[in-house]
Amino acid sequence: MSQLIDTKRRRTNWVAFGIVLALLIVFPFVVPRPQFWVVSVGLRSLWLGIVSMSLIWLAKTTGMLSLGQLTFWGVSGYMVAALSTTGDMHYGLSLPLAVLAGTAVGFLVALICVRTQGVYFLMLTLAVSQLGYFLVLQAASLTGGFEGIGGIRRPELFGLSFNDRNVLYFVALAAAVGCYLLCRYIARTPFGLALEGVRDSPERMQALGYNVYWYRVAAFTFSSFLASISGVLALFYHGRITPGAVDMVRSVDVLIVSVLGGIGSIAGAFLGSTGLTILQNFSQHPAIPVRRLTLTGVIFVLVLLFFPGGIVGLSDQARRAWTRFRGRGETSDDDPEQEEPGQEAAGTGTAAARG
Amino acid sequence: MRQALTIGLNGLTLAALYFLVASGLTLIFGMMRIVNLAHGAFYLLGGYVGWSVLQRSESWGLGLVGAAIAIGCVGLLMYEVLLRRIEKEDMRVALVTIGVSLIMADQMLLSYGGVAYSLRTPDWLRGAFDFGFAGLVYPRGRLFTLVLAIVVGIALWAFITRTRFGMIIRAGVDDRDMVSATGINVRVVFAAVFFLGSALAGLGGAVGGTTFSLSPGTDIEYLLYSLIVVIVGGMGSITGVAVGAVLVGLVSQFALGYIPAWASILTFALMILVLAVRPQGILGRAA
Amino acid sequence: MTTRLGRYRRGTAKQVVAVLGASALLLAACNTDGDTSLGGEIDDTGGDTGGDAEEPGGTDEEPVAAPGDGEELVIGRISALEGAFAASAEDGERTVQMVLEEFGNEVAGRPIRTIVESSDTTPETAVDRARKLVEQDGVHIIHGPLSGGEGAALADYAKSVPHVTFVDAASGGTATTLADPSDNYFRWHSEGAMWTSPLGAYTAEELGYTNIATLAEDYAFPHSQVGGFLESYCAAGGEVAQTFWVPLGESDYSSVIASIPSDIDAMFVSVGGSDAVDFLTQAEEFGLDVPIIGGSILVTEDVLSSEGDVRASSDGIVSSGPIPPATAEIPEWQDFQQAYRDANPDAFDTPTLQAVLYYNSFKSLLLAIEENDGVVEEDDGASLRETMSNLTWDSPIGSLQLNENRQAETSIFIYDVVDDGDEDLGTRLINTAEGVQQGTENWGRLDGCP
Repeated sequence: MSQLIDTKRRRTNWVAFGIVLALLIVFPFVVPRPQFWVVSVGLRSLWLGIVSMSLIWLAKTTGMLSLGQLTFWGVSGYMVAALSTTGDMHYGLSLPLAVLAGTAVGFLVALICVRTQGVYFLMLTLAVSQLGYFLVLQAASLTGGFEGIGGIRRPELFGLSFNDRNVLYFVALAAAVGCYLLCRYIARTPFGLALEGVRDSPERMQALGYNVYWYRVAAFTFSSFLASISGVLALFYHGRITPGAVDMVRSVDVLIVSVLGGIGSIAGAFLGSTGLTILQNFSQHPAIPVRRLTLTGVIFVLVLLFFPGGIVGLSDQARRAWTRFRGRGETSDDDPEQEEPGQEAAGTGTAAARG
Repeated sequence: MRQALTIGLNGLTLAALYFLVASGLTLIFGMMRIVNLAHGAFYLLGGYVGWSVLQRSESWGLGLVGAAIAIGCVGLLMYEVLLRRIEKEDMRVALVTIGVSLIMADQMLLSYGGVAYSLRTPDWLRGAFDFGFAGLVYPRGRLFTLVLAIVVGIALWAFITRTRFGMIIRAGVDDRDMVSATGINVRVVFAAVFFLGSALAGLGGAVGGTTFSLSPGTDIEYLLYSLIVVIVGGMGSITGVAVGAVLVGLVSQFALGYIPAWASILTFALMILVLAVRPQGILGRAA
Repeated sequence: MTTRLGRYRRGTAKQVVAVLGASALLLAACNTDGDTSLGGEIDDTGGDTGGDAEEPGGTDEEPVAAPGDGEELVIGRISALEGAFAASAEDGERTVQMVLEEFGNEVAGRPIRTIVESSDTTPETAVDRARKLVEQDGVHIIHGPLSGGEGAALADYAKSVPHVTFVDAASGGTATTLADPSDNYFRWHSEGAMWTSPLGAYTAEELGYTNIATLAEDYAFPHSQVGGFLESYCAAGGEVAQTFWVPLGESDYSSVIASIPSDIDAMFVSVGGSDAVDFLTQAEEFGLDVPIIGGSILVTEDVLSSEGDVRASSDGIVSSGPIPPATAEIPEWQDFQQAYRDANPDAFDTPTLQAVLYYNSFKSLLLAIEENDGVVEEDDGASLRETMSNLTWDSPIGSLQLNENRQAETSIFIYDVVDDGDEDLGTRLINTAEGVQQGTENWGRLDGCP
């Protein structure tokens, strides 16, 4: 499929990507009040964006919408905290171990969860994330229970101190860019293409000899890997980790970010995370008459109903609306309501079954 | 002995409450393939409404009825206004209900505040019932919940298997479009089902609010337990909900009685165990 | 399918460029205070000594307000208005408003503006709000939080922003001021373990109970309540039959109640809020007939006046806490309650525990600012903190002063619940322990005598 995108479009993509990256690199140096903007907005948007990207990537490539990403995020965060703060392990060892642990847990969860689909899968992953929450609360000797683990000492690696906000920002930026590029790359590999096949026509793929179950497990595991990376960054951002970081509200936050940014676009994750971070920080402003949680809920519902492509899809939506307004007419193919991932599968599947 | 019997009854009466609430969830899903993740918020609002009606009318029964009807209407409203246009997209619908639950939770916090509310048990349900053996006495109120759940369960079963409307619902579960093709006004049927499912949540809230208290956070608690019950018992099956509720209720209460610190985890472990062995739930249909 | 995907990819790139470009321009334009680019130090504020959590980066220079010449004073407030303790936080807003009115909304000639950020009892949110208040709004004073976990996290954060003065609103976590306390964190009330420590000795010695069980929720605050209680109870010779720890969020205590041994003298129960209502209702329903010794939030005003059926089982419960019972004959306390009722006719009959603490802490803050002539910003709060460390005043619940860890050592009041025939239950003062000091342990989950 990707071979069908012409070279000109690809070049435009990369130029745009370069511009964005340049802006992000320059950001810490031009923004006023950097201690707030780089840390509370920039850093937070980056790690929140990565974990949301794990949700979006999974939903987009396999049609599985997971509300459990924070489980693996939490595992890796707690692991680093337990090993290097409570314990004395060097970060060079604890960081990879933690990401590995988060990914391993993702694999185990996948084994059970990917046997279900659609909303059933959604409910399951939600329940799993809550199980994670209770486990973390209960295993107090490892996780510090309700109080969690605080006083995280940020590492110094390769001569760079993670206490320096710019260092941490660029590490997070590098991780975000790396994960993003990895996702894009996978889409063009045989594995990625097989995943798209599994999403669209699992029976056909099974008939062709692909083991659909294990492809799904692999995809889920990869998304938990991304989430684990985010968990480590978030730990350094917060300087502590407590069960409150992995509760239901936070899981829904990740979902909101994904929908807000555009659930069909992995880059949208970062737009969504920036949007939500700014909303959460500034919604107390007297000019906004609505309460924060109500506002968040209303925006979420409005985006779902009227802007299903999220922020990312806005220009396309505007363009379509404009074209329709001018009476040019579009084919039914372009109906925005069919753009939702997974729904494409259902739509095509049922249509194919009807003949 | 008395301890074990008491705990067993605790489990069953808790299961009764879970059944009332989760049956609404599974009814809506079975018929319309809609997972209403605002179901917990419906429960809490039902409790609050029941309390308000009780305050004004001094009648507990009226409180229950009022709660059921009010939440039925809320559910219907949500369905007609927000969900109907996109009802074929399961995922999107589920997400919208999450958004609705956020809004409802915040507005309830605004209206009712953070204080704990309880409905006052009516006089005829006060006191304990003496079983006459093993020295077992048990609160009447909780026994009533059990009786109510059994009555509702049988009524639902009869409604679905013995009436024409129920037959339409069962047909709709199997093939929605075919039912529509036979000329039945599916839209009215759907609306009625959504009303009924939501009303059950509201009723559950009023009843639950009598036994336990209502406060912010109760909505998430009951949503979670409803999900676990239907996951264990199997989505779309009323009997499945009953089985799931009994299992979850008993496991959680026996854990609380003997190893309280592990109660929540054991409940989840039950869910994981069922999933590992039978992903569609004990009485669920294969996906 | 191909076209759709392709369109999205192109759309993605365009959108990302447009939005980020616009944002960058907007941000560059939003330079309202004229402080451009590299404001403040980039490097960290100190080495990593002994596990202090630090904020990444330093702090930005803030435009300085002229001393006490009518320049507006901005106070940041963090209160758990979302979440399980919303009722107490709401009550706290009322009493803070009382303080503001007492002072005429100004202190030392400076008009006061408060920015209230709501938190949800999780430490991460509390710190995020604090960061926003400090870095974006530029406050030099923060009043808050409500819950224990938040308090510990804020005290930690405080170390990285030494120019900000933190006054704890109502949090009762032991760790916050026990070991390596922050120089700029002040707590004008006692903490959870202190609230129950006189009760332990009282139970063994005065009430004569020597074999008890404990029941509490499994998180930090009840840990310290049970710890403080058992420390003095066991020291006075008492014994513990069993400790029950119930997971957070469980509201059905019926099976735990059914498992309580029948041969004990009494039970110590530390639950609060809606769980307290549930427990007391179920205790009565299931015929729990051992005397109950209450933790500090078991039989507080909001529980006793709740809509639940708590009357029968609450009657006779002995408890202790940092505020006197409503009927205690302490003139300043009675005056205060009357003022609360006058200002808030639709609220409770008597302020909740947290509301009283909010009042005391906020008033302590304003008194210190007043005594310091309104000097807050220009010396990074050094003189204010000095003044506050030495401040002592008579609050409605007794005299307040701080120890060397900036932790208050106040009176603890032992009271019981009485049914005097009124619509709601009342409470009666039995004993007062004065100047109770902070202990030495940060209690975890105990399984018996410590």
